[in-house]
Amino acid sequence: MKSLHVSRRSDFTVGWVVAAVGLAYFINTFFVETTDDVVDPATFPRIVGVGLIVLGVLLSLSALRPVRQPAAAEATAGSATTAETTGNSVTESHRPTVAESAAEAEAALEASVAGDDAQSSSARRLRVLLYFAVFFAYLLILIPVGFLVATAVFLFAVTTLYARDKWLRNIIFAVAFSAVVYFGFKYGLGVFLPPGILG
Amino acid sequence: MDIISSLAGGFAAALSPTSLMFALVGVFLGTVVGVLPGIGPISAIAILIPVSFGMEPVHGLIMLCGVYYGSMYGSSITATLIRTPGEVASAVTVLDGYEMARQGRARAALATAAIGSFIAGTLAIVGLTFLSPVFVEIATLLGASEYFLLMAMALLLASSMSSGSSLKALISILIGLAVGMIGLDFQTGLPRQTFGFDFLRDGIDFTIFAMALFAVPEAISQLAGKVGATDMRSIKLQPGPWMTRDDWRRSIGPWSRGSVLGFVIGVLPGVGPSLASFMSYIMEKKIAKHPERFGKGAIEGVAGPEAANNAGVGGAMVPLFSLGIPGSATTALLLFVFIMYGLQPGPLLFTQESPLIWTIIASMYIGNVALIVLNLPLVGVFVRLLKIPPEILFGAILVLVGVGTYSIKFSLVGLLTLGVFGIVGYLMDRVDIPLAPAILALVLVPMIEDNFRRMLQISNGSFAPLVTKPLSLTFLLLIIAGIVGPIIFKRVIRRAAKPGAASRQELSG
Repeated sequence: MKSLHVSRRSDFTVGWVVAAVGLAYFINTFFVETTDDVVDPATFPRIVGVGLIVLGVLLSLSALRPVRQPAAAEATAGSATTAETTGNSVTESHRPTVAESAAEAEAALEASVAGDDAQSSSARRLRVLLYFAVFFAYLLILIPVGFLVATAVFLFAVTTLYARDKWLRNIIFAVAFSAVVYFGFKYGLGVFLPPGILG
Repeated sequence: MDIISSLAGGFAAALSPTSLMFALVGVFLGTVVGVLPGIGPISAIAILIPVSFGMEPVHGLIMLCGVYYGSMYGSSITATLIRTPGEVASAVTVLDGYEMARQGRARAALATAAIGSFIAGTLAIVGLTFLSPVFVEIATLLGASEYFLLMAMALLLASSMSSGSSLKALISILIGLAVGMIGLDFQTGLPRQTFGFDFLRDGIDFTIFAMALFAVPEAISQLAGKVGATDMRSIKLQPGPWMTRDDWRRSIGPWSRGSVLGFVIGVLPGVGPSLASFMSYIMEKKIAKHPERFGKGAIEGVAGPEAANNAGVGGAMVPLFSLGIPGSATTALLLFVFIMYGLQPGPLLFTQESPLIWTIIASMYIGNVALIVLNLPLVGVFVRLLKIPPEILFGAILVLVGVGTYSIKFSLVGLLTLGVFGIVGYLMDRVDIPLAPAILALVLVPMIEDNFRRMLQISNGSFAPLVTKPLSLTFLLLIIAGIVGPIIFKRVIRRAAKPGAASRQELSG
């Protein structure tokens, strides 16, 4: 029940964020130059903006609705945790919970991850931030520093953050992979990656 | 007879050594992608799009289609051996496939998945071969209002059939539409929704958006220690027969039923193969003589769903090729690849680019053969891929999406777009907003808006065509049924699922 609480609280916040984004999007349509057509360039964006506002508000309100069916609520909480393991982000159409067997599949998967739910979720959040920061740094230096050096440094950073003791393997992998991709793209595909400081 | 001779011509081209090689490469890469948990066909195709820039369109398309169905099969390997579906379409395979593996019958489970995928995939391509021309005929009857409704239907079906909250799926669609409208309006050339930033005039590139949403968040969360991700209790393949006579007898029914079901579901715009595999599992359990075996290693529970999801891929190609309407996020990507090569899928493609399209269809037959020829003997090799440490794998993936983005835009703005939408995708994933509908919506923006505008221009601003034209009205009613239907269906299922709570307990115990 505790996790359910959290997911509903997040729905409440998400709803308002979506509505706010929708409002900004909607306001921005008034800066679009209009034409005499029945549908001008601003019409469709305006519909989308209003849609975001309405759906966002609905999502927030739905999070406030009292829970009637504990069984259904449990299923929601379950799907929230298993979304992690089923690879929510890599799929093309999402877990259809309409299906009974979907619930079973989730239950089975849930069993495999049970027991480590909130194991220091704040530490995990910190690691996510860290990896995103390293990734952004990589994107920023890729062109000025050049692909070979930037990539080797990035890969070494990522692998070493993950497995500190394997630093030698990490160096070899970082250098070898950067070189293979660079020369593969250059000679195999005719795509020239930024040479940067080596160029 | 026309179809047969066109197809024969397609085979002649598809059997050329280069085409064959690309079909093999595609299927192989697809299987690898399917095996590795955390990378799905969407990330893989998005990463490969820049690579396929320089290729002949036919070769690029052959390869990327191969990636799609190869990954459908590959994910069953992971589902069976480490209880982690490489892809949602194989989520139900976990139930019985993993149990079979635990009982030392991993080989039988993998074989029934492979053979079922082959049979279903091939039957679906036969369906594609003969149904596409019919769809092309129908397409000539469709006007702007019908196209608009068909695409709206694709979006709504994709969201209503997806995860728990259809509200969040609708939000995802609107996010995709909102992002798609950033840039120059394609009819008037006026900039819109750029928020005053010049660099937004070019719009958000579809491939970068797809990589940012699918590959970046996944890689980062795996690196940050995704729950259960590093814990791969892989079951070893034991020597023994692939399939016994009894296995064959029990698989044939689910294979054929799964093929038909998967194909039909795949053809529906907006519904991908994942639903097909879930439906097939339910159906097999319902009609089984011993439903109590399900969840404890019933081969039927692997054979049916695996057949159904591969048939679903073939089915999803029908509306893509003949109408230019993608049924799922992965087919949306393929649609984008067509457009990238300067081809517009749809009725005209079959007349103007007839040899190309038939070569691709022919190569799918070949790809399916390649799938089974490669996979049964090589399954041990694919299993070893699971030993790649996550930091190596996902570090490499982040580099590849960076390279991909660079070779699309050659600019810092492109790279930063990747990073920013990577964060957006991560947040969406965290709060359970599905990502797939956004991708589908983004690729449909120009078409859906174009048809909407044309409809209103033809009718002088009146919405009447939506209800006065018989085909439009039919589609409109289908959309309403598509929205209301699942709500009723969910209610029924919820009621039916209550007694099933006990068996759930058993499963987790």
